[in-house]
Amino acid sequence: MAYSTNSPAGKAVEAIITDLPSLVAVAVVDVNSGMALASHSNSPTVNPETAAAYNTEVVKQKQKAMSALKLTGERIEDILITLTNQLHLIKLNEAGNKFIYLAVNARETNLAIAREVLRTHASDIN
Amino acid sequence: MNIMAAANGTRPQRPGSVRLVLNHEALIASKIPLVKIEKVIKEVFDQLPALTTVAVVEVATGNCLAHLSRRRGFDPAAAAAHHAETVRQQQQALAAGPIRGERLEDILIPLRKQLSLIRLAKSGQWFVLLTVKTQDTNLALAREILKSIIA
Repeated sequence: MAYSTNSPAGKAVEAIITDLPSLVAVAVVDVNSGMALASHSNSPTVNPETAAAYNTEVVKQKQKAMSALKLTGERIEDILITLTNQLHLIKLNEAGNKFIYLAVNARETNLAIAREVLRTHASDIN
Repeated sequence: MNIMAAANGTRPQRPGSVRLVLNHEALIASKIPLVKIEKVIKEVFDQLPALTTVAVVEVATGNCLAHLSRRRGFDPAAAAAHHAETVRQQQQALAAGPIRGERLEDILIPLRKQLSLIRLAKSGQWFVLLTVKTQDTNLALAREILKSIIA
């Protein structure tokens, strides 16, 4: 457990764990620094802080791509990544300065459930 | 862009133009194995090819033992000496306080457009000084990379 239940980020992580107890890893991440404000992992091999750092670059590159394509009036709602056995989801908050990173086992959770859980908690991290 | 660079008397940056610069005298005096330093710099550059400068600095003397930079003709000697002073001051502050059994791992200096990171070797003898542009990476990523190379 790497979160304080007093902070909004920690509360969001706690709520997501309650909704998806079998998740692999979850983190609330600051886009500017790539640092996790709160994180939790159920797998010894997945370090959510490392995942946060790398996935921040994914978000930033997508934001760069959007500005290069002059997609004004658009913002990233979420990014869904399908692996062989895992689903990785990135859900940005309204301001686009924080995101929730979630990794789940594809056999235990489907994309719709994971996405819906993140949607309900995205406003907690504003 | 190229014309402007030529007019300023600098050449446009090419990925192949970065090379490792060694300070042989300081290296011999420091007794830190060169292979180790070369390996660290190479690994940092492999994982962060967009970096501005990476240098290995001796804590006690502030000497820059080896460096690699995208800024042509950049001499990190002054920066190395100042950062070594920062490290020594912080180590003194830790030694003076009530904290026991802790060692300084890293110092992060985030600026608006540039990040400077210092990561100390386990021995505390030397550190890596890394500078990167904020548009090329993020603080956590640069830190994770240094951490993975210098455990």
